[in-house]
Amino acid sequence: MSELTIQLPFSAAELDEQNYTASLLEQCAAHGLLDDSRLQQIKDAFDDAFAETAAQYTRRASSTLTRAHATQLYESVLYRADLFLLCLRDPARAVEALRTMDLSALLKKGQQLLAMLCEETGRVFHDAFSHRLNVPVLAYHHVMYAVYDNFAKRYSARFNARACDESIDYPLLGRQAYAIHLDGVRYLHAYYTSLMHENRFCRHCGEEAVTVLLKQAGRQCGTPLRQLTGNIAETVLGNLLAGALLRHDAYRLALTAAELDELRRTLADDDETALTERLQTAFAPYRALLAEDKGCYEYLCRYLPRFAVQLRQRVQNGGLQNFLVVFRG
Amino acid sequence: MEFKLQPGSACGSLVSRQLPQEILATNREAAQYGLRLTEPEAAMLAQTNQDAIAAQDRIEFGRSAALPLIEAFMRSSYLAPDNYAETLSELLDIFYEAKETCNDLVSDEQLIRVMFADFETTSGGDTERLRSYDLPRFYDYMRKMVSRGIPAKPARGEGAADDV
Repeated sequence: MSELTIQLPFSAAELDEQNYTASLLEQCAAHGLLDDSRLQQIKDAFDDAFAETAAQYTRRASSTLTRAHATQLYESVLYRADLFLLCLRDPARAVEALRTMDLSALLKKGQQLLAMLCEETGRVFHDAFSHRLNVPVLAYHHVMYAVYDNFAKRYSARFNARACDESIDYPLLGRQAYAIHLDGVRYLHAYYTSLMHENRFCRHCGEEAVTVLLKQAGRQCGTPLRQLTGNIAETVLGNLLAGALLRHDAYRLALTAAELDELRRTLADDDETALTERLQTAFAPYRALLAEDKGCYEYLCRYLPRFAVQLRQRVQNGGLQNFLVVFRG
Repeated sequence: MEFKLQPGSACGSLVSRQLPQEILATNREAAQYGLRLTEPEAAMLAQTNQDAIAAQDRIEFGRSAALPLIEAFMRSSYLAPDNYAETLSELLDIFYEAKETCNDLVSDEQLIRVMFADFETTSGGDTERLRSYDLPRFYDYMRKMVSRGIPAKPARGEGAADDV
């Protein structure tokens, strides 16, 4: 492929990342970036791949399929193309690939990427699992012990690549699971990558300290530990960040009511920007502490601006005691 | 150029374009049974095939089932030159209706075999009887097999995570 990339008449924001190939081709057709004969070649190549996939699906025993099944299979072909074009990380390079590459080679590479992503998701899950917390929180238990196994048994990369039917209620740090706008194995890969960082972080804080904190959090909100629905790392990181602002020792999670009062006084005049900067400074020592786990540190840092907004609201309306976990002391 | 990607956008029309010629090619074998399709009849059957698939909201992707169906039924003792094309047309309709009713649990070949056996025996060459009486008995049989958990040689693939 040529190293020279073209200036595109549309922006990456106009592309749908979940239907990347289709949206890219629509833009190319609309702006005349690919001529009609090349577009027809691309269509034919996808149709051929679909026909072969459909033949495999029916074990070469049927010449027709219901529209619903045919669409599912066709989408699985497009998913392979999506993976390859997305891995180029630049719409201009993706257009160049569509313009010049042999389409069957493109789909083959997409298929290889899909296989690698399935394997990688397994590795990420096992990392998350090996750093899991032994806490009896049902929603967390479900994602650690059931979701991935069900997915691994049911997922068909060849015949239903876009599907991910697993029900995930357990939220991630700062966002709900449903806020991950990806499909198929990409969704689960993103979810367990986040969970891997969260588990690793919680393990750094100490499993016993985390368990004590969660039990206290349960008491504070009148919910048995097993029925906690919030994200564990969010509870842990909240207390850890508050502690960091109070210059506590690293990884100390306990906070007293008196310390919360002190925190409220200290932060009273901070706006969101100032508070974010203050948090970044307070959390900076963890860069060295998590030097072996840079991905984890960066993942936690991305949460700081969101935490700053919530913390400021609680400082302003006096609700810090319900926001953070307080120990009597 | 408007560009939409969907199953059957091109391969369906490719199958349809070639089908009349492929149907005409079955005349070579049909000749030994004294049967023959004209070009307009072949075109009509290709159109019936396409319409029947569309009526069941199905997508055709491989060698059309019209061809093995014609190859099977040309051997029927009930088909004669004056009803050959018309009966094939009705059988195509019945075939896709049956395919849909069986929820894809039977292969094309199995279904054609069942249709042919019934057509030659209990239906006595009557397509209406085949459609409304004999095939529904087969559907009942299929449902019973499925409800007992006996796979009736499913025509579907099944996936697994490493199923790439």
